[in-house]
Order: sequence, then C-alpha cells, then structure tokens
Amino acid sequence: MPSPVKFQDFVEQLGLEQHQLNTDTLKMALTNTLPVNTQTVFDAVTNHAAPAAANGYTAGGEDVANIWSESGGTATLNGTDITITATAGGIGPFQYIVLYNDTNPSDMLVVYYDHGSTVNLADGESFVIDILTNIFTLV
Amino acid sequence: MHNRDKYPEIWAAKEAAEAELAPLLAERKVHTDAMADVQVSIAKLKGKKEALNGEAMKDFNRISELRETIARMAKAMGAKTASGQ
Repeated sequence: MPSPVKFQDFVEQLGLEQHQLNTDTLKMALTNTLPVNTQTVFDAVTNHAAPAAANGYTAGGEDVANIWSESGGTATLNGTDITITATAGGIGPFQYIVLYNDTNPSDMLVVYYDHGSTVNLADGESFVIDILTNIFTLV
Repeated sequence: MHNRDKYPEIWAAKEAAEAELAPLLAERKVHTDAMADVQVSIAKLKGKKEALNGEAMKDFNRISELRETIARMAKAMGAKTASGQ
C-alpha cells in the first residue's frame, strides 16, 4: 500500500484547533471514488461514496483507536489494525481508504490511501488495514 | 541631548503614531480578554474530554492486541491487505 496522501486542508486545520489527534475519534472509511487532496470534509454520499452499510461494513467506517505522541521532536499518529469481513452479500467495490476526524463537527479530512486496485469482498472474505509502525509522523 | 530635541520631527511623528496606536490596542484588549475568558471555558470542556478519553483508552492495549490477532488470522485465510507505514 502506498504512503498516505495528505488532504492539504488538514495542515491548516491542525493549526486552527480543528483536530485533537489524541482525543478525537479518527475513522477509516472505504470508498471507490478517488479522493481529491483539496477536499476538506468527509462526504460518504458523493466525494467519498461508501459501500452499502451492510454485510459487515459499518456506515462511516471504523474507529482506528488513535493515539498521538511525541518523541525527539517527531509526533506520531498511531492506531490499531482494522479487519473488515464481509457477510452474505459482500462488500464493495472499493479502492480507497479515507481517514477523517469523526469528532470534528464537519468530519474534516486527514489523509487517504490508494490500495491500487479495486476490491470486492465475498461472504467470509476479509480486508485488513494493517497499521504496521504508524499512520503517519509529523516532523 | 534628548532624542526629542535631537530629532524633533521624527520624535513628533513617533508620538503621533503612538497616540493613534494606544486606543486601538485598548479596544483590541477588550476582545482578547473576552477571548481568554472563552478559552477558560474551552479548557474546562477539554479537561472533561481528556477524562473521557482516558476511560475510552483504558483497554487500548488489549484492543490493539486483539485487532492485531484478528488481522493476522484474516491474513492467514487470504485476506486482502492494505498496510500502513
């Protein structure tokens, strides 16, 4: 999976107290619509049209249980792995994962990922968002 | 010699600028003081949110472990994956 693509507005809103990356709830949502890095807020209907909230997919995506920390002048956003398993009827198609701030009243955007190919999950199949080391760092 | 006498024109211009600036800063201070009061209220709410976050994150380590375990099992069954950094 490629590196996260930053929504440009995120860095402005970070300085305007719109994000509290330790206590706000960040969610990862699936979409099959290519996000644009000039977008500012999450839109599950049009800009980030979501798979049906059914068959194992939760409307609005999954809480990543994020933690924000700092060491040696580098801040790190971390979270937990997310596994989405389809039930009968399946989930998809989707290709992109959008990380947004669900606590923010406008659901402001943070970053997105391009999986590189379209995914369709059949009954019993899973899609794993593996956080590995971190979500991103800020130097 | 005092600068007032050494540079009378500059001194006068400086005093005029300072005279114009003073009421503007005084007017601004009314608003910045009010903003500080709002910030106190925000700080109280932030404290409440921090406390709630402490409760929400008390099982974070176990949640993280279980999510890693589930992800590992799903991958062992051929799950499609998207890995972070």
